[in-house]
Amino acid sequence: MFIWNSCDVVVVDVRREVEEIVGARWVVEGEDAALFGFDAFTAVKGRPRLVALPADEEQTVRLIALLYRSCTPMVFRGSGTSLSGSTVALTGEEVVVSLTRLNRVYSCEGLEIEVGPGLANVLVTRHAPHDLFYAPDPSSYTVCSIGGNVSHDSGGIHVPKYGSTFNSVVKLRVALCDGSVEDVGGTPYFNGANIFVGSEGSLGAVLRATLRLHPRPETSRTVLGAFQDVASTARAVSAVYEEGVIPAAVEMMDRNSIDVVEKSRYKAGYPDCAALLLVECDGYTPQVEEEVRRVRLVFERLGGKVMVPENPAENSRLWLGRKGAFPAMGVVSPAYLTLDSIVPRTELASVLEEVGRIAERYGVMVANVFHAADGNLHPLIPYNPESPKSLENALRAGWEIVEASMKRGGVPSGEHGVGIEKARFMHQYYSQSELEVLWRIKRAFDPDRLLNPYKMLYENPPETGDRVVSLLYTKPWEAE
Amino acid sequence: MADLKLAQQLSLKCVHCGFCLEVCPTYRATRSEVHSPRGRIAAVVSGALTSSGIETCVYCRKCEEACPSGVEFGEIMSAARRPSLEQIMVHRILEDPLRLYNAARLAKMGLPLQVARRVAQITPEPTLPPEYSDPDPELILFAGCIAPVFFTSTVLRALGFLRQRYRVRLINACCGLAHYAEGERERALTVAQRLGDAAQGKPIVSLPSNCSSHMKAFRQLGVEVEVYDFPEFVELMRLPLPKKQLGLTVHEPCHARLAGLNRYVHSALERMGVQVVEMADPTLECGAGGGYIFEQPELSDEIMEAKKKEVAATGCDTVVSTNFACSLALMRMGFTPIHLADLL
Amino acid sequence: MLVFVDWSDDLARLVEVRDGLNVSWAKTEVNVYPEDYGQVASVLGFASANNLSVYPFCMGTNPVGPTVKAKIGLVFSRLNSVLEVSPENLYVSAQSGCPLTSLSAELDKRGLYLPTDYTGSMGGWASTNAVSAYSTWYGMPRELVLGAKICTGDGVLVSSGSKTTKFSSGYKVWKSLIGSLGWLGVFVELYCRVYPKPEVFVSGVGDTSLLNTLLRGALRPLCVWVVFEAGGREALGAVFGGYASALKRINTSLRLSEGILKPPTLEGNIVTVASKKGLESEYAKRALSALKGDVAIAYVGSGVVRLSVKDFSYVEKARRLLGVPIIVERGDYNGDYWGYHPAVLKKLKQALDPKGVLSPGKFCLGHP
Repeated sequence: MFIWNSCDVVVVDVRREVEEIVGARWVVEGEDAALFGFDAFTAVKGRPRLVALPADEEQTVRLIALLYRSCTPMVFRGSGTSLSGSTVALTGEEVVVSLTRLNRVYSCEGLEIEVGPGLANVLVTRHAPHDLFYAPDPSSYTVCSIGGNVSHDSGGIHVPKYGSTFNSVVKLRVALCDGSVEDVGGTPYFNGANIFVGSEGSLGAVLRATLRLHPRPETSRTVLGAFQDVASTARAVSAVYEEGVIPAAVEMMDRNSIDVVEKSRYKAGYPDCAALLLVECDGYTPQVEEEVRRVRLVFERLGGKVMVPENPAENSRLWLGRKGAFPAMGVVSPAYLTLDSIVPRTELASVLEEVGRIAERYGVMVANVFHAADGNLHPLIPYNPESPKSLENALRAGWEIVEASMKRGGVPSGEHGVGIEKARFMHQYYSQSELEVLWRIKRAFDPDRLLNPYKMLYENPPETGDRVVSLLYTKPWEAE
Repeated sequence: MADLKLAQQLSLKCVHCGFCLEVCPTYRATRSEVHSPRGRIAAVVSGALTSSGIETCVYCRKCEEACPSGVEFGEIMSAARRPSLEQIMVHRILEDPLRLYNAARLAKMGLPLQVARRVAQITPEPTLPPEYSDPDPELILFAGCIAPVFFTSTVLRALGFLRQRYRVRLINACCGLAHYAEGERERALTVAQRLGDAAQGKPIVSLPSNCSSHMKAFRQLGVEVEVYDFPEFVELMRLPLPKKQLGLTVHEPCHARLAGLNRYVHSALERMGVQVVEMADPTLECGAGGGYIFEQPELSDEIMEAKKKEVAATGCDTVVSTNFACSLALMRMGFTPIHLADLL
Repeated sequence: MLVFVDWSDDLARLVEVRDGLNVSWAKTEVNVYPEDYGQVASVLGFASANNLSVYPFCMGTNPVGPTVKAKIGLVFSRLNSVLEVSPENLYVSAQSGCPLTSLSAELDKRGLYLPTDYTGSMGGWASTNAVSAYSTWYGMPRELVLGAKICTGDGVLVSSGSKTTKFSSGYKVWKSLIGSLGWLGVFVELYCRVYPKPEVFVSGVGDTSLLNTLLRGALRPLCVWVVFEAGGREALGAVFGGYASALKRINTSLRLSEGILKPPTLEGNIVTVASKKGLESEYAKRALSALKGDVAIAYVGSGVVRLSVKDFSYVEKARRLLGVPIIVERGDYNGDYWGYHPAVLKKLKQALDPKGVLSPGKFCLGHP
């Protein structure tokens, strides 16, 4: 299948050699290997040929070198919470290298903490000194692993002020395909860590990450604005910034998502409205007080009804609704797709209108709940997992939303990565010559294309016989 | 195979987001999807019931709390599991504390069975289960299966305490949680009915808090009983408590937590003026899990290792544990577990 | 000079060609002045096809590393426009030859600012990943540049990143070019994050014992730096920005005054030292003594310390002693300017400048 391979050593029994490296207990095969074949992207499941769970960096490096030498495609996997299918073993040929056991905290000094890729995001702050915290907080932060955060450049609700994972990555230790290990980053000029952030495990494996911590804010306050139309809600987002406010978070929920939340166990008691904004201001108390005052004024000026929670319990309740919005979709449907295209803030009103039209055309209910300050849409599109037609419908509606975003100066993925889900858009977002440059980078690190094949970059669709997979890999202009 | 169908039906709610992984004690010990709730559900869906993960679930149901989609994981495991002969044997023994006493003595004498060796390692010297009933009892003290044999003094203290105000009958029996968790669902129902009959409509004050939690859910099996966990009863009735000058930490048993029972332990200790040093995560699984500690020695030891660190970080030697299986695990870790009743 | 005439005539058909440069930081045989991105691409395509070395630069205000000798000087001075300022989206797009002073003037009109005190061009700012006092809170170009149009060493124009605040749609090619001194490719257009200009700036000076409170406490200053002099003098400076009503209430033992106080500018031979973030002050002290320098500035929170030194005779020793990257930023040094040679950099060079025409000798790959 990989005709470009230049493997010079034939390893007769990969399985045996893998076992020699990690030990029998840490090799998973047969039916159990399928349990590592999928992640949080619900549409596609795969089945790896073998799974290995190395204990430490040394075993991981040996394992990667062995697999590469023997022409074995591999997928690096942490907690398996990718929403773009970046860790799915698509073809069945892949060995999954699980980095979950590399979950140590190595050191914590100054504003830096050094951790293994298998450590869950939430544990970074837990291991940090009390006056510091780790800012990136994807909604799966209780479980998603740092290696995956780095590989997807994951965002979260606090990106507007603290940046995405990229901004918090100081240094990385990476394992390259030839079995070499390099510490990259932490240097003032060229920073070798940059290319690995968001590379979806296609250039090498992250063995260790040194992350930046921030001082904990003295105060954190929430303002909720409920609006009677989507356009004013969208307008309010930019207006907040025009007041000189740098909010820590600005989240938006539309009527559909509010309805769903209110029917679920995440019920927050949101006011009846077309859309609402949840703004969080944090930092130095007097500055926060002034920010809150101004956010209120902006909301009122634009016809919004303002709520400022009086106590921590009320505050948590308001955020619980937002944080529960994804899982609350379970009330409507057992499965849903979530995309993450981005538009400039000024295009929010227009793109949301378009999303409404797309939903109508496909006869699907789209709930919008998203990182408004970043213009980062998260349309939730429910589908019936038992019905291929329903899934296809949802996929197509999602694609149109991504296209509508790109038309407005946006990008296909803001924080979930390309993976399987958006691989087709690479051919639309980039020109052929631009793609070739990306391929040149890929080939420089992975000459035999064995690292996470078919994710992000692909030329010919994988032949899996799965209809959803072939749909996902249909280049946009090849679709009818 | 109706049960497998039920398990698969319940599994449809899972969107494999993975939120359950980091709360699962076996996932934390192995870092492997096979031993995670999400992996187990996937195995159930594909019908791969021979997957080793199905057996390694401790049945603490912490994943249910973490699940944003409301998957009833305990039900899935209970419905999907097929108990082994050894498990069935253990269940039968647990049903009758006298049998447990005899079995434990045999184990201590060196019965050449793997599970017996483990029992011998883990349990203290067995004692003949005490029996007691006041005439015309108005209250049942339910001691469970383990306590009457291995924690007899605790049972007697609880009995003595309750008898100051009530006419009490002591019942040493099994609640059926182990059966239910390990897939012997019909037998679990029988055990529950038997207990329901024995209670004769009288309120039950239960000493082992995970059993209390299970019995509180008897209604779902169609068995009506009025159950209070011991600390819950003490607090609801505002029974007078002695003042104690003590420093200790509190372990929160998993099922007791699901039923919201641990708060009564804390309020009782507060009333007694006891100094509680909180663990960073008092709900961290102890590794006991009913028969689990005997059947899965390797994994349960690994889980205990993590718990041991957590407890040790408090600097306390005494750990309040209202569930006796947990107490066995805590003893194995080298701590001194006590029940609230031991302080009365 | 026959060879020279050969290719320069061909080059002149693509772009305006003028005399080369002969200054301390670069020597070129000819300079070219592209007026659009297509010309940049064709110059680099031509250079790659003919194995002609290229040195990209603009204002020459902040050269870093060894002197480059190249056939062609690629000058960005005519690609100098501010293209779009968006106060609603808080970004600015500008051509890479745009001087930061003109950009700042444009931003100022709209109540915005780009937090840096760099003085050269946008391209230079990004290509050197220039640290400034503002890096304490806002970071460096690495954090601030949202996307760019770049050109590879063999003349392929690539849009990488975007104007949006985050981007997870393919390799971050533009981020790899940041700080790479035009060695992997060149910027032709940049999209940067900008901020609403705070209503008031207040600066403070004080004792270095206040450092930890400033770095980890509630106030969250925009800038914190510490200056160490060889004689043992130390000074700490900080800048706060925010609403007047809030800054009035700052409670600190710093001596405060309104406005922006800047750290001193370093002259002569300069060395950059990588530090752990948050420990710049300690690294600055150690580096000052190890390098026998004159002045060290710790840009607190940035992970960067810069020093002026009399000469570079202690560079190798300091590298061994401190165990962190120590870079000869400016000055004549006959040793290895970098002291580290990542394989990742080599791989990126293969991918992005396959003929190796850009800035020969700027980085060395294990062969000092």
